[in-house]
Amino acid sequence: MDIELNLRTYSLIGMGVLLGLAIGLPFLLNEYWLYLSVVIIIYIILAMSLNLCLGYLGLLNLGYTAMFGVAGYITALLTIRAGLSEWIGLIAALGAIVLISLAIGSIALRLKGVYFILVMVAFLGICGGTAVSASGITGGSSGLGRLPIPSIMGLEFSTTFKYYYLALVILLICLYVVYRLVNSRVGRAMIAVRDNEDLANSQGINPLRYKMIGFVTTGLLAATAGWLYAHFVRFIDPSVLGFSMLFDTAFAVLVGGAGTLGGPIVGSLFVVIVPQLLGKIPVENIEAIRYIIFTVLLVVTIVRMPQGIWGWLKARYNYRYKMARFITLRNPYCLLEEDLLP
Amino acid sequence: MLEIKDLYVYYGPMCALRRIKISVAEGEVVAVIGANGAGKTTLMKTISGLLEPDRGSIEFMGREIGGMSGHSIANLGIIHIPEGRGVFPEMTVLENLEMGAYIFKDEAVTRQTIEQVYELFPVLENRRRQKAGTLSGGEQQMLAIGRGLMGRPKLLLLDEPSQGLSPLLVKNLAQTIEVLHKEHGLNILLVEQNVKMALEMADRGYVLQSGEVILEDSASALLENEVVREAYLGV
Amino acid sequence: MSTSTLVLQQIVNGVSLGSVYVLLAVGFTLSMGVLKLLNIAHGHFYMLGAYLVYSFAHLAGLGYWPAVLLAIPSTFLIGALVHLAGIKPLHGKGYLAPVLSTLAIAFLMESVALLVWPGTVRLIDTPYNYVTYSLAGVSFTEQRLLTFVAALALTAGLYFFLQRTKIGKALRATTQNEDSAELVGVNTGSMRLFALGLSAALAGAAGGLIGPLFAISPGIGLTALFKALVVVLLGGLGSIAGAVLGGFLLGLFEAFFGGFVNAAWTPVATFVLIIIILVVRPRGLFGREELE
Repeated sequence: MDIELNLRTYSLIGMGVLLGLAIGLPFLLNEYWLYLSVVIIIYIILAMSLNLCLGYLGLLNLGYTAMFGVAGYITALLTIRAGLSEWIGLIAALGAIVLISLAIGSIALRLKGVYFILVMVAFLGICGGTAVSASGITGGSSGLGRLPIPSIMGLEFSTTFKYYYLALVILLICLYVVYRLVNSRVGRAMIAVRDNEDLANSQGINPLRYKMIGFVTTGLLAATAGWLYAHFVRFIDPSVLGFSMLFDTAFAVLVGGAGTLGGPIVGSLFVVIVPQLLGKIPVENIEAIRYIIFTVLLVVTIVRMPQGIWGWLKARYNYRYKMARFITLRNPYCLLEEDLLP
Repeated sequence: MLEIKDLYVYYGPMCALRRIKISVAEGEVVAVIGANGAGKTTLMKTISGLLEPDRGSIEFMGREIGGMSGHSIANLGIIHIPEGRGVFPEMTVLENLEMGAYIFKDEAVTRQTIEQVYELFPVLENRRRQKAGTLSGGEQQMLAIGRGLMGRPKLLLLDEPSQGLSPLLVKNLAQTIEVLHKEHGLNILLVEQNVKMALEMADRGYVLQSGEVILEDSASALLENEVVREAYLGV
Repeated sequence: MSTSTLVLQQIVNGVSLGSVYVLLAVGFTLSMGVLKLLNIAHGHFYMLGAYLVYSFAHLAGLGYWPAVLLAIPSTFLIGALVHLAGIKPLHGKGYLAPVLSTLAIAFLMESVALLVWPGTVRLIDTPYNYVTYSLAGVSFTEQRLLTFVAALALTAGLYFFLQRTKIGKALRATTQNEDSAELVGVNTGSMRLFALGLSAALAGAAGGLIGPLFAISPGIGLTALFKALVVVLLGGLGSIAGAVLGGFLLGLFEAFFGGFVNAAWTPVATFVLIIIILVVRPRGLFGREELE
């Protein structure tokens, strides 16, 4: 899991083509696939959120779906119960997630490895349990429905066609933010903390601070995805805090390629499109079977191709990337092996 | 009895050991000295099977052992007493010693060997029901050596036994190792940062620097060697 | 019911529940200690055990106890398989990769369970469910008593196994210092395999024992994992005594919280408990060290 090289090494034409494709897509697709495209975009943003924590910080943060769900619930509550605008919902959700991330992060990020995972899992459990149990507020298992459709200055994003562009713009903003973050001093500091926390510390980098920055950003991305989802599907219930969302996006990140920018995109495409194609096969229980296939794929990926599809592609076709990989593997790592022993 | 030829060990993409050629003959005490990070522990771990060599051969009593697993190599008679003692902290001294004889089935010989270890290190007998983690550094070192002896070694690998010990304890340690060698006839490969102690005990020595052997000679010659004196003895 | 009887009733419930938690947690702490692994699929072995007992008892027509006795080695074998396929290949590649693998395996097991036992929840029915005893105004079914006894017996058996047998000691040694264990001749690879199989078997046993008391569905795997986590955190990672104490504490906590406060919020309360423990005293009551 390594630094991605500056995008300038890729031909700008390639980027332009992709962008053009993305913009022109709605004209080529039917309603069904257009709907899926929006779902893919939401998944990409959510996968980017996990990717930030897992790929760039090295933290297995299983609470990101909780942030996703909480944001969705906040905007739902504000727009349905309090009748506020969906944009207030967005700001409130983002703000609340920042606060929650700071709070949880201050506990969790001080803890090592396993304990961190546990806190985030516990956090996810609390959110899920509260969503179900506090049925007075959250609507319990039935959830909350009929969220309003977002609109800007009278233009309503009432069709999938229009919503797609809203989602696309938000995605591009998120991509840009992450790209700038990862390639900045802050991003490099995060990677340094990931690779060797003590070493980073001795070089004047405060691990907690950078972990927190990454952690909060993860939350913000997840919250954005949550808001998009809530106003697209116009319904929210505790299932968003469940296993399937967690699995799908985790799969997207791991199989797509953690620690890269393109990985979550590739992974999300895979995770949404493949089940659709599998669904066409007229076999009973295809749903459960697809889960089996996916989990086998996931295990095989972790064992054989831990850098994911995108990471693999990059290593093969970009020799400059290979050089960077070699250089980024720290020198002291090898020779000071004795010092690394506890 | 131990022949290492052209050994290369990589740690990830970096090379930890390069072109290593070391031998230990029957009845010898051989020392490998060098600074921190030179690769001494990597060398020991590769011999004892905790690490795999990438190139080259390690022969023990004529048999190629490179790449064999740690427990198999222990079965062959190479006992590695690791850096930092490596005792089982939650087990008692006695349990630690018993673990040392894990590969053997005859209880009677094990009991005898334990008695021998107690003779060598009386303090272990006193503390035999104490948890190993509560022992002092010097006591743990004795326990580690005792446990190693329980394995009835043909070749003993000692990794920085003097680490963390006071000068007095180091002297005791040196005496113990002498006894083990002279009276019990153990072959010893010793890796140390304490160059003086190591070379005084050894018959021959190798100097390891940045993963390569830069000097090889008899121990007494090395003690007189200019390079060694300047770099490691601070003379 | 008078308050004191109510309290006693909750104590009985808590203790019988706790005994199963102990079994579950002891297996978890074993796999954590030997493999240094957060086995996310641990709870799913519990779920598997419950379903296997159900299948053996109801579908294959075996009695309850034979079903349990068959389910235990079956879960052991499945655990061993999981280790060989998903965990062993990742040995030495950091702590994160194996954990992710167990996450995937957990999903896999749940999917398979949904496939093999589709539909609604099942209930393991045993003749012991219908015999009730009464003591000091508190009533409990024979099943609860038997579950309690069985869980305790298994835990005690495990304790003696670890303390008195050669392999048990080798397991403990591997937990305390893997390299040293290898160097004295312990085949640590085999130990890891055995430990995972054993922890799976214990979890499966717990599932089989609790099956008659509660309904079973594929989702209970995740819940069981959380319970095991709380117990192990309470008692301390790597400590069997801690797991025993923690198991009963959790059982009692849940019984009292559910009985006196609000049953619906018990899961949330348990999670809050996890966070509190992690903040205040991550090493638990008897924990030796902080695991990386």
